[in-house]
Amino acid sequence: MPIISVKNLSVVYGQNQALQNVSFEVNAGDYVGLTGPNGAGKTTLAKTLLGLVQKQSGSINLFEKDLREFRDWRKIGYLPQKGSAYNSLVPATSGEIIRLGLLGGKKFPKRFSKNDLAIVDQMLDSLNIRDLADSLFSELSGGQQQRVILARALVSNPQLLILDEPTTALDPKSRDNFFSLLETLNKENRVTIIYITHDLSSIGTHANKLLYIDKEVVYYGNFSDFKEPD
Amino acid sequence: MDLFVLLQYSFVQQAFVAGICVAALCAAIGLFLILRKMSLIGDGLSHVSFGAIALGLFFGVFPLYVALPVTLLAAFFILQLSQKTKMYSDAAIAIVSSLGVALGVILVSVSSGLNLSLFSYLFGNILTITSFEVYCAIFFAAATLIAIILFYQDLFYATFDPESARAAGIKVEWINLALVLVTALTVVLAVRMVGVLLVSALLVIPPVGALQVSRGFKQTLALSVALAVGAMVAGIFLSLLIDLPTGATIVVVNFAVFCGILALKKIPI
Repeated sequence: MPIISVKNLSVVYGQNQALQNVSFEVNAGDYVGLTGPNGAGKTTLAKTLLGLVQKQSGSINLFEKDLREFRDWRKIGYLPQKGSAYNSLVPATSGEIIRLGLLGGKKFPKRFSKNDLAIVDQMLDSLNIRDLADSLFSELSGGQQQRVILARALVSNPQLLILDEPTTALDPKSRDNFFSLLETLNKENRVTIIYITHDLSSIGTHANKLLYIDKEVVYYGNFSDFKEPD
Repeated sequence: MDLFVLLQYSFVQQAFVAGICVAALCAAIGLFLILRKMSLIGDGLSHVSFGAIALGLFFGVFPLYVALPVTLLAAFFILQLSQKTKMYSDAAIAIVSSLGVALGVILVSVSSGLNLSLFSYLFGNILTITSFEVYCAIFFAAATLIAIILFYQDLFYATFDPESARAAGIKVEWINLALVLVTALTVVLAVRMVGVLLVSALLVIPPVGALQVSRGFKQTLALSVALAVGAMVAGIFLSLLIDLPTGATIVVVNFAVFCGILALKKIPI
């Protein structure tokens, strides 16, 4: 079953064509590395999949539903590019931020149950960040902040993870731990993963598919068959 | 002057009730505005309300009846300008704010006898508000604070990370619109109490003070409201006690509390 189905997708920013006729499908359990040169439209593609950027034409289906009708946001975990989205001045603790990841499936008035708090506790343990739960997000290091945001993306037990340059703030050891966590999620829980990176070699090591774009799809398939364009 | 005797007067009681409502309202709304880098929207909208009040006085209409729709429109316009054009919200606020003042000044210059009435709105007077205004303050503060409690998680998410909040299906644009419209209503309400020139102090100083010491978003919101209410009560008492202008005294007390927090945190200025 395709989790994501994109057909002839085009996106325009003002006069700038950001994506043109992009088509691809991602199946349940796929682990896709999305890459391309600067300005290729990688982040735009991720944001368009989430409905954050308006498309000019084409269609997007998530979990076999048209994006315009899709409401089950709890199925998707999103980790934005570091520092691009979140407001570090907000005096929130890590625990408060991780809980936000559970809001996607809640109805008004949105309240957290004891079960929700227990899930957050489990997530703190599984990412080894329990000691950060009551720390202010603004006082954490870049790597710690990234782990908190990752915990927020994972806490709803999503079926699809979209990660935009997730390892940029992580040291080598944290990066290894991060990738082994993704591998576990992908292999044991069949979580579908799309992660954006500039590091082609990491896609070869970790992902089972490569999506290379430069405003349009240049290559989509197994990493081993890929020849990097000049 | 015996404060307990003063408290027997209905105008003093009304001032306390309305003051507490407006202080709590401003502090709660102000926290969200500051964290969205929109601290000056209160200042801008109060300047617009100045122009609208002058318009009302010029045409002989109760000024707040004109100020309310005009300020709401201005808030909407500021939001549209900052979202649809290549401009930060502070620039949009500056444009709308200066237009409000300019229109007010033109109306003052072409009319006679307007200056005195307008003067009372520039500095406000919480001791002269009517029962109707007190009921408005109670109703509006209660409605807004209940809305903040009900939509707390959405507001928090949209403030911390608007993009991910959108990706979680939260209507961030609606939240932004509601926030600026509530700010406009709050400003119109507060103008009668502390005046056009001092409204933004109520929106900015208590939340900024709370941000220095709180650990957690809920705690910051609660402390911001508590500081604002405390400063409002102390300011009204102090102004009655030593016969000072009430609005200005409230602002000075707020500032003193803020300085106290900086001193406690040992932050050198």
